[in-house]
Amino acid sequence: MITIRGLRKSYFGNEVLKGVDLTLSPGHVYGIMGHNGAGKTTLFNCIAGIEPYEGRIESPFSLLKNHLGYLMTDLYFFPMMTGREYLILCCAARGRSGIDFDARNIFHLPLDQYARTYSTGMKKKLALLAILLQDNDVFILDEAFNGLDLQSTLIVTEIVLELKRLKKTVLLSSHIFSTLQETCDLLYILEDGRCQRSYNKDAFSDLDRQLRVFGNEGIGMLGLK
Amino acid sequence: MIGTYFSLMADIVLRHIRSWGLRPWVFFIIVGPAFVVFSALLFDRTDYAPSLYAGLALYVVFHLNGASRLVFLRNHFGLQKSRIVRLIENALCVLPFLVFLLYMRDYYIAAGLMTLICALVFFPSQRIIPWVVPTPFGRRPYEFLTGFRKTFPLLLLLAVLMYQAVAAGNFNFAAGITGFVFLIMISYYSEVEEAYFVWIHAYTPGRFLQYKIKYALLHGVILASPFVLTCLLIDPGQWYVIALVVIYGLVYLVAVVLARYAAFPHQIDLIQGILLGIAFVLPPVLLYVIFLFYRRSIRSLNQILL
Repeated sequence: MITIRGLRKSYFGNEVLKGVDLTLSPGHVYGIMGHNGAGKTTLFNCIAGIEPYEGRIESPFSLLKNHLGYLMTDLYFFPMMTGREYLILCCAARGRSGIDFDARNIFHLPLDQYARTYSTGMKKKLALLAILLQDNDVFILDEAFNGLDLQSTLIVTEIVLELKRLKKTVLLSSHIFSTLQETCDLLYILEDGRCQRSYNKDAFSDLDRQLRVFGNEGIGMLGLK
Repeated sequence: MIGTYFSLMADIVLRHIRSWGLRPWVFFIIVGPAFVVFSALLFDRTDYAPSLYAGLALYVVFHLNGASRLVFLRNHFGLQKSRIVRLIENALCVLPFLVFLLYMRDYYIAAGLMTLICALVFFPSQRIIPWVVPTPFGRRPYEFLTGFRKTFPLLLLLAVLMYQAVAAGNFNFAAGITGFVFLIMISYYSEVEEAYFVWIHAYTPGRFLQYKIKYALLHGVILASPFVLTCLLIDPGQWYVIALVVIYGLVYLVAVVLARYAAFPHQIDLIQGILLGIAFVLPPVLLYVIFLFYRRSIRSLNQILL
């Protein structure tokens, strides 16, 4: 179980996270929702240890980051590096070698082409494949469904559910509510630097309704003619 | 619109200078004379200076013409205006080189350089080559793998120059090219590594640095080997000169690798740059710099790896 208590993060005096408390158990999928700029990516970076923070994160691992697969929202690919070389680099970083990438290339990616020539969705799939092949115990998937085609969205949904079956801990964010609805056991709403509210599966339809009402009211403010 | 663009570009340049902790006028007072001294030394030391000098100017322009940047310019300015913008940018970049070439009365090289930068305006450079350039560097870590591919045309050019050195039996020129190959290797470590690709490693900071240095040395030897062997072919009696170039090149490469992580997750700062510069001219300082950067690297990497 991963326990996060009082996690705070500031940038130049601007407090983005004001004391986040979360408990994440193996075999569960957790969703984080929030407006653009609410601090979801900052929260993920802090959990991953990419950014320093105040507060406490406890896990059963001596070093959580070495068991964590993090799919970042802004992916970076080295120039003139093939997809296969990217996978080798990511797996070698975690001491994994001798993997038959072709056999496990579920997305049928052209692994011997430069990764930078891939489309947005293909890049996302490559990065996801890399962290899956690292054999991690915990996964953070930031905007995992962005840029994916319909079939790939279905595959990624199935992957998340499979990770759950394998007793992995998954924390994900998405702006596509239906994907969260299908995969998550619990949804946290990140507002004003804290996880203010949480919804379990039974309450997802209520949350969906609330979001739609707000969306419709918001469009009126535009005064489109 | 073009005026606004260049005004913004000037602001960005000034911001970069200020981010190094320098006032812009101080920067220009340092860089101006430094450029003249460097140019004078280059022209004094070798007969091939005008060609190398023009090559350096083109290298700068080439870097300015990245594919995504050109797409941006074309989208916002349209084809005609984007070409004017590029022409002005290219001209501003090569202006100091051009002035010095004219001062040295290398009129043909200067004219050739001008023609080339005008021609470049009509060709987007740094296009991603669709075929994968094979490399002898395995697949990890990535610096030599991607660096070799990015500098492949330049390395080919150096190979051609090496052939000329062999034909002329000019050992000094060949040794100079070998030194230049080490400078190219150093450029592979010039960019800050993305935090994610440091973070993914399940290594301690010490082990991580060991891993990076080991492969930098191994790959450095592989890339330098053909050039070193060619030098020995020209004049085996001067093996000690080339041994010195290789040893110094490799030790300096280690210092640059460490400087990169000493500054991590930021770009190498001005002080570190000056230290590297001093170490380049005064080799004994290099050992102190390596020791200093190693300690700082461990401290910087502790934050992300532990």
